Amino acid sequence: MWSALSKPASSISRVSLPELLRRRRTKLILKIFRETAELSFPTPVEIYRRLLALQESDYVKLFEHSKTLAGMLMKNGSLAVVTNSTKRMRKELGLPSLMFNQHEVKKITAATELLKIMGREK
Amino acid sequence: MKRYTLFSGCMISTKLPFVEALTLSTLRKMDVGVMTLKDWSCCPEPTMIRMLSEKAWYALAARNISIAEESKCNILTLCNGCLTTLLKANEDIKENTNLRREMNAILGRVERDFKGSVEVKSLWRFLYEDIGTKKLRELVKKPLVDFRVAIHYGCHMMEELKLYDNIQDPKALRALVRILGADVADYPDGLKCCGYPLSPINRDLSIDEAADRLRGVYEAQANCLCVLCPACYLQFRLALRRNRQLKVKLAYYPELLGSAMGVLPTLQQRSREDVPHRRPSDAC
Repeated sequence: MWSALSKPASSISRVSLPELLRRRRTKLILKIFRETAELSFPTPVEIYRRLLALQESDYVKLFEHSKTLAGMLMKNGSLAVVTNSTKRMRKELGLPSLMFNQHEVKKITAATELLKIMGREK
Repeated sequence: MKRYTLFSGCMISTKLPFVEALTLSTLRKMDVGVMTLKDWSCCPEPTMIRMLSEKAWYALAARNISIAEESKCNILTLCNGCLTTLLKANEDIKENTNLRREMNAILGRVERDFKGSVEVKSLWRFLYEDIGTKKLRELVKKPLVDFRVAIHYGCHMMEELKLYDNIQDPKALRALVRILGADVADYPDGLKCCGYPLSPINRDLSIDEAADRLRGVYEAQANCLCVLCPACYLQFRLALRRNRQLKVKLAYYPELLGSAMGVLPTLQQRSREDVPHRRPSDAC
C-alpha cells in the first residue's frame, strides 16, 4: 500500500498543490475500489483486491489514464471518438447519428473541480 | 404505459453498435416503446472519472438523467458501467437533499433540472421483472438448443443485481438464458472480474485475467460465453484472439436473445471456429 496515505497531515504540508490533489484522488479511488470489492464479497473480485495493493507508480499510471479519459470526455462528450467508420456502421444498421453534447459537458465540468485537478484551470 | 429510452453508452454506440441495433429490434418485437433521445454524453465512466471528481461525475450523470426526465422516459442501460453510474447517481441525488441542490445549481448553467422522476434499470432486469420469462419464452422462435452458455456478469452489475437477485448465487440471468433454449454452464469464476480495470497499468496481465476466465468456461464444456458489459466483451474478444485454442463463442446477451427470437440469423449457422466472430458492423 502507498505509504504516503498513512502519513500524518503535518508531514505532507509542504508538498505542492498538485501533489496534494493527487493524494486526495488516490484516497478516493481506494474508496471506490473498496466499495466494488466489498459489493461482491464473499465472492471476491480479485482484480479490485489487486488494485488495492498496487504500488505508487501504478497509481500514478491510473491517475494519468483517468486524466486522459476526462480530457476525451470534455473534448468529445464521450470516451470514444466518433469516426467515419462508426458513422458508416451506424448508418448501415439503421441507427441514428450520434450527437454527444460536448458544449454542455464543458459548461458542467467548468462548474466543478475537474479542470483544477487536471491542471487545466486558467 | 411506461416509456423507455435506451442509454447505449459511448462504448456500445461507437464500438459495438450491432448490440444497440439488436436490442432495439428485440424490444420492438416485444412492443416496448423506446424513444431515441439526443444530447447524451458519456454516463460518465464509473471509476476513473469519479476518481478525479465525484462532483463532476454526479453532475454529468444528473444531466443525462434530466434529459430522460424531460421526455418522461425511464432509462434502460446496456452497459454495466452506465448502469452503475446512472443508478447510483439517480438514487443518491434523489435521497440527498444537499447533493440535489448542489447538482441543480450546476445543471442550471445549461438550463436543466434534476427532478428525480425516472427510474434506471439494466435491460436484463427489465426483461426479467417487467417483460417476464413467460412472455419471453413465447417470443422464442429458434431455441438455442446446441448451446451451453456460461455467463460472465461483470463487476459493475453488482450495484443493481443486489436489488433483485442473490449476488452470491444469482438466478435471474440464468433464467434469461435458459428460456432461450440454451443450457447454462456453471464455472467457478463467473463473478470475478474480466481484468479490464488493470489494462491501463499492465495490458498483458489484464488479458491474462480474461484468458483465465475463458479457460474456466472451456473446462466447464461451455461453447458460448454470454457477457453483459462492453468492456468485458472487448476484453474477452482480445483474449480469444490470443488464445485461439479456446473454442468459445462470445456473445452479448442481446445477440442470444435476437438469435432465439429470429431477429438474427441463428447462431448455429455460424462456424464453431468463428471465434471471435466478426461482422461488418464490428470492424472497430
